[in-house]
Amino acid sequence: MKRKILSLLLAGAMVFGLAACGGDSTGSAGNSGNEGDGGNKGQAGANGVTTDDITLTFWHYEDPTTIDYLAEKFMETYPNIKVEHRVIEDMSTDLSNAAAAGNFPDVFEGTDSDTALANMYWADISEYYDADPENKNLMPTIEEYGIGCFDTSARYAMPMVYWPSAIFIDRNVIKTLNLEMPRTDWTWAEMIQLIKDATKDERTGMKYYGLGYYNRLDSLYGIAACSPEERALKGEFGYDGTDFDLSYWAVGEQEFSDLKLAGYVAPQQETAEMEAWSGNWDTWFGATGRVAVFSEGFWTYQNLWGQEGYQEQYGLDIVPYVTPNVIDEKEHNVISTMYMGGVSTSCKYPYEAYLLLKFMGWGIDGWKARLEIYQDTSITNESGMPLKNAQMPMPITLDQEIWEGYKSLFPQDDRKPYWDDFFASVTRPVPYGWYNIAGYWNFCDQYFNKIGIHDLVDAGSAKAADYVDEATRQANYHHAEAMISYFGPGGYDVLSEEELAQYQAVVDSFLQ
Amino acid sequence: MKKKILALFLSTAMTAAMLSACGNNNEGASGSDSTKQTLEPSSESTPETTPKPSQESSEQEPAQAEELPAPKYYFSFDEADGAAGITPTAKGAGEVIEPAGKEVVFIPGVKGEAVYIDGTYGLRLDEVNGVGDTYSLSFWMYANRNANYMPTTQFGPDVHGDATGGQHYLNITWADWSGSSEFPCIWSYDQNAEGSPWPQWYPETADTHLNQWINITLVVDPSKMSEDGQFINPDLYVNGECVSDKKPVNIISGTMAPSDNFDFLLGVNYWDAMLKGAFDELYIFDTALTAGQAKTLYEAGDPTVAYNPPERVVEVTVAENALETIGNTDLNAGFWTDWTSAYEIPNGVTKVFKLNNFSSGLELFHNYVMVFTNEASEAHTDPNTASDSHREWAAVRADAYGWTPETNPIPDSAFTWTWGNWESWKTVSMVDADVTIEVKREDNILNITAHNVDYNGLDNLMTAKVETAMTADDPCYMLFTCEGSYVELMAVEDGVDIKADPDAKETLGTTTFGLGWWAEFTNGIELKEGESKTVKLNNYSSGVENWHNYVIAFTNTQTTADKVPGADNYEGYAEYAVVRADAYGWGDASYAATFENSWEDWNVWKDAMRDVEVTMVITRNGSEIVIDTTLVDRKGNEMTSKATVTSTLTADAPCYFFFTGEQAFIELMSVE
Repeated sequence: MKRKILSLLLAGAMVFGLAACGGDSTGSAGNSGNEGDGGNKGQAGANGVTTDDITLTFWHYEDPTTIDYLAEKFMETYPNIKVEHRVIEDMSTDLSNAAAAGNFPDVFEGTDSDTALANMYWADISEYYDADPENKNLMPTIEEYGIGCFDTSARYAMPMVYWPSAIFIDRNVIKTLNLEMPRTDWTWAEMIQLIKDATKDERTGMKYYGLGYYNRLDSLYGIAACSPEERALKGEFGYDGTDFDLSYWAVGEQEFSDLKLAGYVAPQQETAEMEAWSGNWDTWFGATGRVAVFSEGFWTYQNLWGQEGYQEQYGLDIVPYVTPNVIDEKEHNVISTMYMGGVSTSCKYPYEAYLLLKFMGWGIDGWKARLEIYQDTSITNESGMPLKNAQMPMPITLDQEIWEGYKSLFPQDDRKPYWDDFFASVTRPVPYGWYNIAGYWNFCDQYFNKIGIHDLVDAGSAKAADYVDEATRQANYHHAEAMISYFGPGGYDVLSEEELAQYQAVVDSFLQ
Repeated sequence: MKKKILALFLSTAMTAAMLSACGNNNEGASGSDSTKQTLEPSSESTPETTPKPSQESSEQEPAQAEELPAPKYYFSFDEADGAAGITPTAKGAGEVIEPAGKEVVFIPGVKGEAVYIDGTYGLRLDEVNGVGDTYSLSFWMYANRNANYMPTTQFGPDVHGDATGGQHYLNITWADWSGSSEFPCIWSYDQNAEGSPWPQWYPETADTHLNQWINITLVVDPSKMSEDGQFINPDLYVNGECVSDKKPVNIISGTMAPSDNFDFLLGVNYWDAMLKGAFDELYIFDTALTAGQAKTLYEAGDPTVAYNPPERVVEVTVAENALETIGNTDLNAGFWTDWTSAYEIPNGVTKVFKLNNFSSGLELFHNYVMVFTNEASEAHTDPNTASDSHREWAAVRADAYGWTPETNPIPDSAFTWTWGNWESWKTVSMVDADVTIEVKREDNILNITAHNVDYNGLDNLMTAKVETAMTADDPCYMLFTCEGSYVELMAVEDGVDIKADPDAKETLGTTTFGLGWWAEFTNGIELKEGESKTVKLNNYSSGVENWHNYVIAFTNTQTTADKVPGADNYEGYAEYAVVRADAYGWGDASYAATFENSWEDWNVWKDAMRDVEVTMVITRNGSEIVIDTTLVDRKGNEMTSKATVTSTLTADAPCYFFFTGEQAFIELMSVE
């Protein structure tokens, strides 16, 4: 199914086969507007891009002002292509409605991949991707782990928006507590120890907490749990590309819950605990100046701490740290938010759509345009926020010029060494499960979240280890079932007989 | 409270201004004249401010205040009007609301006074009933806290579904459907309607509107329907401005249908966290207001009024049913001046102590103290005088502090505590706390878990692992003493130690309660017409929620434990009824149920269900299934319940039942 072409320049001469542009429309709602159409039937210029006046639609989750500017830049490069875009409100609903109405977007990104794969919304873009030399200089896990390929030989999607998980430390708290700042290439154990050391309770007023969290530590631990030699983890819940092993997750889950139960973790916003600690129901721990370590989304820095005057207002001095690994390894994987984007199977101009996808996501030209926008803080979104503070992602290209520009958007004072070390350490992203593992969300929905495992373990009424065997069995089943459903004969039909048999064996074993 | 129903007379010079989307139900078009009019309120009129004409030109003419019709209900929430018909109401254990036994509290509001609620209770407006599908609701509110689905106003003909078996309500609430919490979200539900519609709406701009006075007006006109004809599209105004013009609000019909079971609730419902804040100027009209009238309601209030919640007053109440009390209600008892009896702590056994703790709030140590000794001693007698061989193994205070003869003080590392602010722990939580202490002795180690639950429901958890000089063979007793406090010992019980029974025919879940909803099932058992079956279960519950127990489902198909019951796995599968242990259920189109329970206190029931032997006699007769249940808890107490369920089941139809549950460990012992 995967076909390669030598150069994108040849693309214009090609008549795209069904695989690249629509495939078998049966069962694909996204194909409803393009039945039997093999793709671009118009004229192509020397660069392989159509000379027809066309419109491409892009649906996304980004700041709409940013995409307005990027769309303008793209249209300057391709004057015959008009780009229309909109923010997705609810992925499943919006896309199914669009499929039914025959106005499916040409390019879209999603917050989970199961929806797109189950409905065959994304086309195989391997031809374009493989032939594009720019793609040789991306963060290595994209290729090593087949991020966007979903354990098949075809590429259906690419990471469009990348935010690594991040640990942040408030240097002011560390100083107040007479602690030492840890080394930036710290280990997991060193982080846990700092969380414990920085939890100080003088039995008067507000205590200092070691940790404030947005991301649970078990999510981070799942990637950081062992050396690659022990198990090559390439996804959450101990996923190694073939199957799951939740024993790794269980260690992190229990460790995190034990920290919570023992009082090392700050209360969450809008809780009675927060009201008792800070006096206000809606206080955010990140603005108290009494939390040392934060397990946060990377965007928290941009959206809040990175805003001009914010840290000064709350007496903070925030620097980033990489999410550590259990082994003392300089370069290791880091769990990441990665919105995946692809070209729709219904798209009539898949090559042009690929170019748009790349421009809006990881392409160097698109990132040059982004940097122009982000560096000009007079450009603001509807909320009046400079665009670099509004959902700015991180490049996945390793292009040096892009990275120099990107890094210049962050503090250049004595915090710069922390940022430099952080950026150097996040080149091996591994997406959260729902972005890149088929059936992951089904597993969470049908088993993990349904039982409420986090709540039970956090309350101390259950141990994470109790769930390892059954959860592993369930995860493997849901993954295997999804692989057959999405990529077997009833779906994209790209699995070999051997692969099908392996997945079927897992399903059969579960159902026995 | 005397309901003020005032006709609101405004200037006769007023002309309705028209909005293109909201409130466009008046004759006449917007005109330039309308923007030039001012209002001269009459002496009886409620609005006390004069709307200012807009100085801006826009495509939509701003609404101008208009005369209000006579409301069907009006609550000024002024102290002078009294509190009749306003009942402080709290969410009880499980899905119940009940009178909170509190007084209505008034604080300054946007106009006169407002009613204040402190987060431990809301308000029920007892006399309010439905006024029909055409209605308008308006109120002012100041929210000091929010949470997902926390109600501001929630109302309906059968909010909890007690009368009809189906919930039917509208809730103006917070939700994070857009990705972040925001207000006002509109959520309505009609469980009995076809498809059980549950439309929800959230605003375009994320804002919780916390800590500010805000005016909400919802105008429901059933002639304004969604394109598919399924929902009513009401107009929603926030501070007099329409917010539903760009994105229609969908609600189901009948949310204001009159009913004998009508609830009109403020800041409380059957399920969610309770609001802390204030309400003011609540109107219910049986007409659809115009945009101008919505503006009038907003302009009648002053949102700049300072929010001044009252200081909390703790009343030390004496429980007549306490086993023992120590200290005194003046909260000035000195240390080591009063003691409870000493209770044996056998090795390897968990003992549970329940206390009411009232503290002076002046010092961290003005609370209960646990003392572990080697011998029994009598109440109010210094245990040190019990005998010459008296030994003290350890003493542990509520504030995670203690000592042993060998180690004084016990190091902090032996303790954990979840509270983060000792000042609020001392002055807010412990001044009136419900305390549950579990003590488990393992040879020379004392493992202590103390849940100190404050008036707000906040569980301040303290654990201690204390190493003592006693040996496994030494006797160990525990007594309480106190300082600067009054402590009531309410109960002394054996803890729950779950031991899986090897004779169980089938089990659901794990002993750590890892049972998800609709995740595990027993095999289906046939129940023939006229037949009675006696079922015995052991039910262990996590005790967190009422529904964390066994559930019985009646179906038309014999199911097996290895497949999820449903049409996907069983052709023609249908459920007649599903009945939970906590006297709650649902079923097919003809489902109806009555429940009779011997218990009144759901907290007692919930605690019993943590370890209970269940005997159910299930009888089928025509369309009726009767479940007679006897519960015997770990203390030997017996409770009974009877559920009578009707459905589409007929005498000649097949009928089977199976058990499932949630966050429980269930052993099916026998079916006869």
